[in-house]
Amino acid sequence: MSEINHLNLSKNGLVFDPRTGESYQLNPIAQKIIVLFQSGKTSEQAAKLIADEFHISLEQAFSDILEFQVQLSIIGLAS
Amino acid sequence: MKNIIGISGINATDNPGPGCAVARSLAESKSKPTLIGLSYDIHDPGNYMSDLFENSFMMPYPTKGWQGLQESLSTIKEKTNLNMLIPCLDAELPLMIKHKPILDKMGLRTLMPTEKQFELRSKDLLTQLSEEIGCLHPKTKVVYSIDELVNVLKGEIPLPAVVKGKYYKAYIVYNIETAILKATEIAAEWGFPILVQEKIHGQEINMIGLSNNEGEVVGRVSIKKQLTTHLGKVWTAVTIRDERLDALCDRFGKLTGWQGPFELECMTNENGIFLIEINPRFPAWVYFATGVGVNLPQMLVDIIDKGECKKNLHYPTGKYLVRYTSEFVTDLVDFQNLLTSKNRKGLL
Repeated sequence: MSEINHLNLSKNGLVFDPRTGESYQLNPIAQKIIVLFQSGKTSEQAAKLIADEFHISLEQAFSDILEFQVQLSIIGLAS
Repeated sequence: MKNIIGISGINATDNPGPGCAVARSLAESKSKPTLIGLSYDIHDPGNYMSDLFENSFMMPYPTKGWQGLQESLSTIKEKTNLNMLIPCLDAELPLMIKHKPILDKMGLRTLMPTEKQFELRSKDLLTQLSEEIGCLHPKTKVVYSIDELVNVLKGEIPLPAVVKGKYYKAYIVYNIETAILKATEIAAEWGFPILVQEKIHGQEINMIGLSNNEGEVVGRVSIKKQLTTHLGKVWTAVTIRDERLDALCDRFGKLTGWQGPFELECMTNENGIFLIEINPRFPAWVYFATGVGVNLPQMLVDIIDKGECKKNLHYPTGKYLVRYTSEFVTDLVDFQNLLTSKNRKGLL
């Protein structure tokens, strides 16, 4: 999901969109998903890593990632 | 030759002019020019800022015409060896631009748009310019009476709308009564015409820029206002970069051949970027650009001095501007000197 590479994620969990000046607060899983996508991971790879780190099922992690991607598109953070 | 620069718009109030921010930018530059405040109001805070301005002089209001302004500038030049001007107020710019050849003869160097460029961006011609540079512009009607205003609001441009003066003031109005009240207020102060503009929803974004003598944009910074005063003046803001706005800025520079500073005021939403207003001078938040490494006032001085400056289009996004109020204590004699000798130091 390379279209989120422009987003700046701060240490305190806020993501800043430099194109619009908008900031959003993310929960820890959302922060991790941003980091993984920005490092070039696919949704499948990210789901595996999220499932391992947060002790949830692979299906749950994959579902969370898809839902988060939809939210990013709706609020215009992912182009 | 040491630059001795006159700067106007030194009203650093909650509705600030750009002058003090321009002065601060130059004071922080390597060249450290001597700065002279040019004021139309004895209460302008800049008149008393001796840390920024070597001296400050009172001038007659631009509405009183060129003759008085020229005599005043001539006197200031005699007393200070003034050799450069950075006009920062909308109301004085038409006079300064029109009489630029006289300023040149007086040895008062400037970088300002031409009369044609200045007129192209006037609020009543902005629809045409917006089309030519390929951006959106809110539907706008020029009205010359209150009756006409009411008719427009009942037909072509429905409420809510924006009621604006040709030079100053803009109010969002939600009903006919408020529209009449605000239009009457503006007309009483600035006269007709009044502009009625479609209200655009979305985020306000602004860009400050500087073009050289060839109309090439040599510096620019974009921001999103986060918090504003009741007059819409910035109180906190963040730097952004919107490639569409950068492209719009370049097209504006190329098409108009703009010379000097400018500000693009825009709204952005799902339909694109709407150009709301173009200010033909630095805005009051010019120090924000300086603070993120783009010292536009110094670049302007370089263009006047050398005909060119080092292009600087790069700045960090996510930098945050915080405006605040402050006080300092000075002596009543400064006020007395400004009142009697028309300058802070009391030079005769």
